[in-house]
Amino acid sequence: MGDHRMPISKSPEIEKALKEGKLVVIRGRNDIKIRIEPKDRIYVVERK
Amino acid sequence: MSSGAVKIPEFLQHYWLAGKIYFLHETAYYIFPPGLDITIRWYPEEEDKVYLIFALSFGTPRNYITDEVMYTDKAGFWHRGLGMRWHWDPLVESITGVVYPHVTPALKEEPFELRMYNYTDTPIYLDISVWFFEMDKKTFKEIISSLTGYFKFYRLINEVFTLEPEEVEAIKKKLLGLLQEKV
Repeated sequence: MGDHRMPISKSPEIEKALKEGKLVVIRGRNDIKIRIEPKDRIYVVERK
Repeated sequence: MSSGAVKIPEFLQHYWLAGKIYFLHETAYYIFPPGLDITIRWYPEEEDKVYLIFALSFGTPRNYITDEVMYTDKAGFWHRGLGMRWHWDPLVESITGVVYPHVTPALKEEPFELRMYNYTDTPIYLDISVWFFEMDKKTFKEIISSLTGYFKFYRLINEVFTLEPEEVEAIKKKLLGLLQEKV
């Protein structure tokens, strides 16, 4: 059995957010509410 | 990787089956940059709703640059919710390697909180799933009342077993008397 895990998504936008010290969250688009404070320190990638 | 299955608490199963509560989980990758200090709060938007969180599960923490497994006690999260004290959950195997059980209601006025830190010089990522049931406050109170009923019932049974036979007889007579008064 090999390791079939795909590497995590990487993009210039994610790299930029990490350099700015932002928490990156990659999640599905849904109605579940999460509050993250301060809001300007998060970068969200929503999967459709 | 979290080991074992996420289990639905027994006391919630019949409410789920009866369609009174709704199952959900929220799964996401979180990438922690170096120097991270940020708080995530979970709670329903509506004031009459409750998220009853019953488990957290985690993927394996990894170095974002190399994708290699990276366990460390220099990154993780402080954590609290209703009925919980603040405590530190580092990204080590004894935390990320288990299904982390909870019975934690999250309300608009009492959120479930994760304060995430990364004291290393490397971005770290892992996936986290929060498992919960959504319900209205009326149903939540009903569930709590039923649990209180179970507790009182078993306490009563325990007391009966510790009584002398004549004391049990006295209780029986008293109960019969009460029943006759009601009929």
